[in-house]
Formats: sequence, C-alpha cells, structure tokens
Amino acid sequence: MIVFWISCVTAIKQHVRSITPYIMQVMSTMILIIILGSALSGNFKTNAYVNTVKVALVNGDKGEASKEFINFLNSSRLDKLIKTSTVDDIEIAKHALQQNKYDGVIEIKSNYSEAYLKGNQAAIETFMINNDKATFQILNSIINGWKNNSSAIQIATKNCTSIESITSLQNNDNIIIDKALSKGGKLPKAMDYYTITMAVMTLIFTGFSTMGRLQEDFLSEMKTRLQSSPAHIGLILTGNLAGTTVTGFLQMAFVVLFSHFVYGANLGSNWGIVFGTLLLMTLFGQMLAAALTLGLKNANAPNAIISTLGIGFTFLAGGFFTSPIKGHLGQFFVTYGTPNSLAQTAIFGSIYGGASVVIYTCMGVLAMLSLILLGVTIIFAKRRILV
Amino acid sequence: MITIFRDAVKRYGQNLVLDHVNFDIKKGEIIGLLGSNGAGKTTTIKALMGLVPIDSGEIKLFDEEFSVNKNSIKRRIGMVPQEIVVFNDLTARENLNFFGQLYGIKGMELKTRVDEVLNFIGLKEYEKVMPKKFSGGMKRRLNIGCALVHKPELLIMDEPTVGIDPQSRNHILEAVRKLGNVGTTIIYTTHYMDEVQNLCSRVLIMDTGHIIANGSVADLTKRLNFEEKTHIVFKKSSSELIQNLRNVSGIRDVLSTDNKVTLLSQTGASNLEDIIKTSQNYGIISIQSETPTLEDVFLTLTGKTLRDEEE
Repeated sequence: MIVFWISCVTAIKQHVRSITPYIMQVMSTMILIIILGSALSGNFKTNAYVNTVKVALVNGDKGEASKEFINFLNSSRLDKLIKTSTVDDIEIAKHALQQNKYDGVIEIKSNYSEAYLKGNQAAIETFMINNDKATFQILNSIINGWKNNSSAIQIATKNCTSIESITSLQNNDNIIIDKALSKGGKLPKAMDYYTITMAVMTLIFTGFSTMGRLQEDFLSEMKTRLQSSPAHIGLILTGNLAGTTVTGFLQMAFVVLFSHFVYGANLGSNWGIVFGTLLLMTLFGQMLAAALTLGLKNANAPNAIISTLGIGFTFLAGGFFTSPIKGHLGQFFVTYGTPNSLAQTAIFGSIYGGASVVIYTCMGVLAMLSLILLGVTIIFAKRRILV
Repeated sequence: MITIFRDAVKRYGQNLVLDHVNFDIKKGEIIGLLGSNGAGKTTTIKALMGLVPIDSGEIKLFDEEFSVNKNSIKRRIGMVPQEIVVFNDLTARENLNFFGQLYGIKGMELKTRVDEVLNFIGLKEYEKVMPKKFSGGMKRRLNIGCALVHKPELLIMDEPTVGIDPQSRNHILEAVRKLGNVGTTIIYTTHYMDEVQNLCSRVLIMDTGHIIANGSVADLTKRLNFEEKTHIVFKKSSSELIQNLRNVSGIRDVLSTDNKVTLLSQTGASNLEDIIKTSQNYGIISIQSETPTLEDVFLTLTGKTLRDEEE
C-alpha cells in the first residue's frame, strides 16, 4: 500500500510544480466565471421576483378542496411570491387585469371540489394579459404543482421547484430566465450558475494533464524502469491517478470557494453534496482520460476526444449556450443526459433545495460511470502496462 | 553463480529472438554484452529483469529459478536504462527517494542510502535541483543513481554513456569500476568497444539470438587467425612490393590502398625486422603495429561493426 501513497504524493507534487498549466487552468476558469457571472447577470430575469405577483382569485367552488388550495396560496411559504385578492366575479377580475390592477387571475371552477374528491383533474384556470414570463412561471409552477398531486406540491413549493427548472435556465430568446422558486427568497444568480457550470466543464479538461502524466510515466521508457522494480505497477498507476484526481479536485474546489467568498456565489447549505459531486466529476474526468490514453495507441486521439467531449457535454448541458436540442430530448440532455448535466443537476438541486432522491441518483449515476471507466482503464492497463 | 541461462528460447510470433542461449555470470564479474541490433541483447536483458517470460529453458538468478514478477529477485537487481528515465519535475534527492521507496527502503536507511548515492554520483550539491536544469552528463549520473539506491547485487547498464561529454563519461566509467571493486556484478552493454576493453572482465557477443563468443577480451582476440596488424605508409607502392611482402615469413595477408599497406601476421611470427628490410627500398613514411582489438573480433565474428548498426 505504501507504493500507492508514494505514487499519489509524487503525482501531486509533480502537478503542483507544473505551475503554468496549473495556474492557466485555475485562472482561465475563474476569469470565465467572473466575465460570464458579471456580464450576463443582467440577463437573469430575477428582478421579477423582487415585486410580488398580484393575483385576483375568483373562487366559484363552495367545497373544502378549494379552501385547501386557497390556504396554500395564502401560506407563508408563498407570501414573497404572490399576493392574492379575492374577487367575486370572473368578469370583474378580467377587467381589472386589463387595467393592470393585477398581474394575473386565478379562477377556481365551480366543480373543483367535486372533481378533486372523485380523483378527476380539478379545474383551475389562469389568465394573464401581458407576456411576463416570470409571472407566468410563478403561477404556472404553483398551479401545476397543486394540480398534479401532493408530491408535486412538495417539490414545487416546499422544496422550491423541480430540478429541471433550475438547470434549464435559458429560453428560446437566449435570455436566461430563472424559473426557480427559491426557498427563503434566495434567488439564483448568474454567478452561481457559471461558477458551477464552468467548474464542472473544467473538470473534464483536467484530464489533459492526466494524459500527459500517463504518457510520460507509463507509456515511455519509464514504464520499463517501473516494471523492473518489485513494486506492482498497477499500484503505481492507481496511486498516480489518485494524485491527479486530488489535484484536479483541489483546483476546482479553490475556484468554487473563491467565487463563493469573493463574488458571493451561492453554494447552498450542504457543501458535502456540492464538493462530493465535484469530486465525482473529477474522478469521471480522470478515468475518461486514463481509459482513452491507455486504450488508444495514437497519442493525439485522446486529446482530440477529450476536447470534443468536454465541449459537447458542456453544450448539451446548456453550459454556455442554449442547447440546440429542443423538447423532451433537449430537456433530458440538460438534466441527466451528460456527466456535466448530472453534476449540475445534483449541485443545483442541493443549492436550491431539489428533491434529495434526484440529487443522490445523479451522484450515483456519476459514480457508476466513473467505475465503469475504471474497469475499462484496468483492462487497457493490463494490456499495455502490466507485465 | 549470480546468473545462469540454460537453453533459453524466446519467440515473438515466428521470429526466434533467443535461440538456446547459454551463459553463466559469477559474482563480481563485469560482463560486456555486445550485439548488433536484433541480436537478442534487449530480450536477454528483459528476461534477466523478469519483464518478458521465456518460452523454454531456464533462468536462474541468485540460485533461484527466475520468472516474471518474482519480486524477491527483482529487489536484488538494478536497471540503468539507455534513455534517461528520471522525473524532470522532482529534485535529484526526490528522484532517488522515489525509486528507493519502490524497493521498500524507508526511514533513516533511505536517507543514508540516498546521501551515499548522491555522493557516489557526484550530485550531492545539486540534490535540490530538478533534472530539467541538469546537463546531459548530470542527468546520466542521476539515471544511474536511481538504480543504485537499493544497493543491487546485479546491475544491468544499458549504454550508460551515450551522448555525454568526456568528463561525465570518465566519471561514469570510474563509478562502474568502483562498483565492480566492491563486488557488484555488472552487465554492461555499449557501442563503445574501448569501454568494454577497459572495464569488462568478460565479453558475451550475441548474433541472431545466439551467444557466438564468450570470454575475456584477451581470449577472444587470441582466437582470431591473425595476431598482429602492421600498417605501413610508403612514398610509392607497387605490385612488386606487395608480392615481396607476401613472401615474408609469417604473413597471412596483405591489404593495399594507394600508398598504404596493411599486413596481417600469424601468431608469434616476429617478422617486423624482415618486413622493414623488404620495404626499405620503397621509401617508408610511417610504420605502425597493433594487436587485434575487440572491434576486430566483433567484425570477424558477425561481419558487422557495432557503429554501422547503430547508424
């Protein structure tokens, strides 16, 4: 086991001493975060949340179910988001809406309680006169949550919002819209978003230095020297990979902490999940680099593949630009479809109070992907390195 | 015996690279292992280090049968690769520490050994400097040092003096001598014949997977069918002169190029006086006599020169 630690510590020393790439990686990520986080913060339509949405509530139902809904609308959990005023007649409410006295109207239909008790879809209708997307998102989230079922309400209100709505921050107009109904009034900021997406993206690219390390130490004459020693070269390799993983993780942990303490990026209350996910993402990046380096004989191919995947994953996860893939497939890629998406979903879920089952599932899948790549790396290592 | 090779055979596909190789190495010997490219030298070394398994035959090291990954034996062997294989971003001391630890040395023993090796290779004052700032010779010395930290009983050195300045070369050759003097068994491969002549107690010459010669430099040169070469440069040369020289007693062959004539004489001919008498009327400019060298032995046995192969 001592060989593992020697190799791990040596790899860390070597990485830290390769000061130029080290600084470049940290600095370039930080600069991107600062530029994107500051320059694009204006595109975050979070101002809509500052003003509470004024809603005219028309209740045509006399049953108990609608009372629960009204209690829910008036609960303290939502009081920063909407303010309801009861109006008796829908036409009066619509007229007031046209005169901009309200931002929206919610009408509870007369058969609401009856339908609700029979288990049928209960009817609630919303009216808006302008195309205020933020208002629409708030009303839509609340009503859909209530309409669907009680667990949906838990996600949409108590735990803020569904995770999808946090990671798909961009609309067709390429304007970032935050749909999150943040617990305790915390509003997602561009800085939060870019801190995490840039850190996750960079962790894929930390594989470059791992590739260099592996080529230098295990695919050159050094291999013969290591093989001729009594130490098991597999242990030296895993120690080396552990060292590069630790270094890559510390690099990005530094960037994320810097963004938090200096620029106020929100990391939520559970840092274990945030940094645990970053560690898993680092592990994935390292294993990907190792598997490609040991598996492909052409030394340039792994570089090209990592570059393509790094950019591709970021793109599909909506890291820089709006994903070109629309609809459910696009939503899938943004949320779960790439390692970056999984990491972002887990971290944003943790920060903004997403469902823990989704967070841990994403982390689990990420860990599993790393384990699969580890298995592949071992197979390739046996072919190319082990005697 | 430190090493015994018995009928070792190794094939790579259809290519027979070791063809029933046999040799023994005694403790404290410095063995020169010579061979042109493809002769089987590298495979022999790899088999000795336990890096490639042989297909048949037997390799014994330190009286134990040796196979791939036998760590108890690997601990007793040191390897100096031909290329400089050190970590450029670790200091000289850290490099030695790393390789020492791979061989299970730790604590005070490691520190002491690393200090000894740094002194031995003359890099003590550069112990905190990274090899990327070293000259080629210093890197070569560190390359050797990394194989010495664990005090190997058998040291395999693969062309340790390639591409370095004469001063560093002398330092390395002196170090090899010292290691030999303290009883380290050394297998030394090189393309520089003078190094082998000066250092090695015995020479193994390999060709096409066979050991074709095995003995001391003196033994091997005695086996050639000439003992002495005499080079004479004349003012003018003629066919009559060449014929007269062929008739001198003990002459086996006469080679002529322009005004330069090379005479190959039999063992114990003692014919220098007769050669001079025969030549004096043709205006001798210079005369030089030499005994056969290892280069001649290699050339005679393999039909190749090591340098040509290298190029």
